[in-house]
Amino acid sequence: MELIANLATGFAVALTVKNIAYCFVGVLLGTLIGVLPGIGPVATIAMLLPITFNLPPESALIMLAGIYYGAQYGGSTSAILVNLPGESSSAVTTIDGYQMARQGRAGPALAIAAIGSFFAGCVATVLVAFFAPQLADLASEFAQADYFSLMVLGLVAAVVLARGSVLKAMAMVLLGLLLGMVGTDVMDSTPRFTFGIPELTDGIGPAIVAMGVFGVAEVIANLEQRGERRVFAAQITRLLPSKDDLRRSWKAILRGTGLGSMLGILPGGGALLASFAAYTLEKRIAKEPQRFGQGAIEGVAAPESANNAGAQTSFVPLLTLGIPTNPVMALMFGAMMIHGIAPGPNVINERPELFWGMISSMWIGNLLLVVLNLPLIGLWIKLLTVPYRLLYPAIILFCCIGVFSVNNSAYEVGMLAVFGLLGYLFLKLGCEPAPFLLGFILGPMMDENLRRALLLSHGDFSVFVTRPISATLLALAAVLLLLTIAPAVRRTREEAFAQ
Amino acid sequence: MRSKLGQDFWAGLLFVVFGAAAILIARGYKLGTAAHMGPAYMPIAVGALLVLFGVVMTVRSLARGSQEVGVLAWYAAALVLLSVLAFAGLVRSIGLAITTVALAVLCRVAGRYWGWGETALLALGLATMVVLIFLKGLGMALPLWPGQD
Repeated sequence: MELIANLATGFAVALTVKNIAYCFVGVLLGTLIGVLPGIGPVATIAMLLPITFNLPPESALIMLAGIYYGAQYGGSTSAILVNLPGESSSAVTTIDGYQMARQGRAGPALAIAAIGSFFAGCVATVLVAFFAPQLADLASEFAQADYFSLMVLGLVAAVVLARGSVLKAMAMVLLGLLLGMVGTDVMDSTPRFTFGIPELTDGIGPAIVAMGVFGVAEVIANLEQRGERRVFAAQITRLLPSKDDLRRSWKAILRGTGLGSMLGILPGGGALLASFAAYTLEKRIAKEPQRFGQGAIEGVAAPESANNAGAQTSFVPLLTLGIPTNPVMALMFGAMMIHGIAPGPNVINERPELFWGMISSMWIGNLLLVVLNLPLIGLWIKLLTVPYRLLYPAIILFCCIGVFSVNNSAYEVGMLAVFGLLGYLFLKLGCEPAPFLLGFILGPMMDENLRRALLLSHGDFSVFVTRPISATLLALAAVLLLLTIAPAVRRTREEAFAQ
Repeated sequence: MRSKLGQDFWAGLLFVVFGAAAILIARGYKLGTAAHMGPAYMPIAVGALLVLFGVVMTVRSLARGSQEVGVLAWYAAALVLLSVLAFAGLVRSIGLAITTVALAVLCRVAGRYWGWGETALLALGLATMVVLIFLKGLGMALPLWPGQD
């Protein structure tokens, strides 16, 4: 019953005309950048952060959250119609979605993606409302050592999820940690790595790093590629899925929603992991796995439900523990700080209208998204035909204005160029930017919690293994890391034996 | 294609440079003890690990090779970054309108498909849009024309 009372508080906030409008703007922008390949929610939220200065905090967070889950809807459109993931979390949808489009079944594929996403969004909203208060209660038991170990687990998870070598991803986390330490030391106010530059005393803003690495760098990388995209737009004759489609999909939607919701809550999780895991699961349990890759509708239904569920439940660790688990949450963390709200277990008690307003808005946002996506599909297809050469100057321009407006600082726009270059090098050297950004955000917090924990234990490192919460989290991190390294070790040895 | 001087070689080198620089700079700060860590403690620890990882990657690439880096789009990268720097350097003195036009033109020159007519339309369109949104709509503290700061 408390749940219903809480949701009532939330809907009272979310259903004001003003907040519905901000929610609409958020999901509209989310769909837009979700459809457009080459720009994702991280860069977009970073660009819009400064604009939200003047909004009330509820409205700001409602809008920014809308961009993230809205992008999950939009991403499926380009995955299905152009074989390009508009959003990285829709990458697996291209496999079967594009095949369906080539068979003239783009309409049902788009419809199932939207229906699955809507269902997942509704379920995830209820799950967040149910579990978040309980996690917040648990969080009050957390001491500094536990927070430190939780962040270690988050970073390990980010490493495990990164493509390519584990070593490289760990190095990226460390590099992020180092750059996160630029600025005034929290414990004894020594300026670190500031080179006497006043703009660096408060540290480098996460929005600058995110826009440089995810915005500017992506543009440069995209300019390398030749060729124009082909759109399978003409083939959309009917939108509604057939009875057979529905019969095949509903279980996949249920499984995708469940798996996505769980994986979203885990540190390092979110939409991306959820969609890949859901696709793999469907393929593994399917009676005819050979249908996958040939236009199996389950291959669209499951990942698209999962990425939306994961996007929403990834707000849980941020709102209850104050720990961002992926780059988007890291920026939401920044947005909350801008508005003077310290993310953590206190948000739910001290700002119930904000907490429940944001969660309720997710349900409203999902409803708006179904309306935006299905009847207006023609509009988004048109958008897909806008050539990239007209888009990227706008992306660069918005990044510049966005960075400038944070502190009215031209110097920081210069730093945007530095991080753009760094991000481009990362891309060329096969280094994943996501672990880097997460390390960057968590760096100062880890430094502070580690030092406070050791101060209290008089320099005794055993505090991290004697406290049960901390020990459990570290053990989880160790197991996760070992599991990832183990198959790699095996493969390498097999290669060595073969030679 | 694999190469001894592949992605992992250069990435490893990048990590070594950053890690070593962090250690060198942080030597100037107070180290402290485990119970009272000074500002240098974490940077040196993290920097040392980064150097270690970087060395392993570099050596491993020299021994076994790694994915080739591929062609760098120097021309596009330089022009896009230049357009960002131009914005940083110009916006206060010559205002948002002309700066936007300069940025748009530099960005378009960076790309493959290039035409004066389309570029001019795009630059004017973008300038009108950002002036309306950011200056008129959101009231940002930026000059519109030269000499208004």
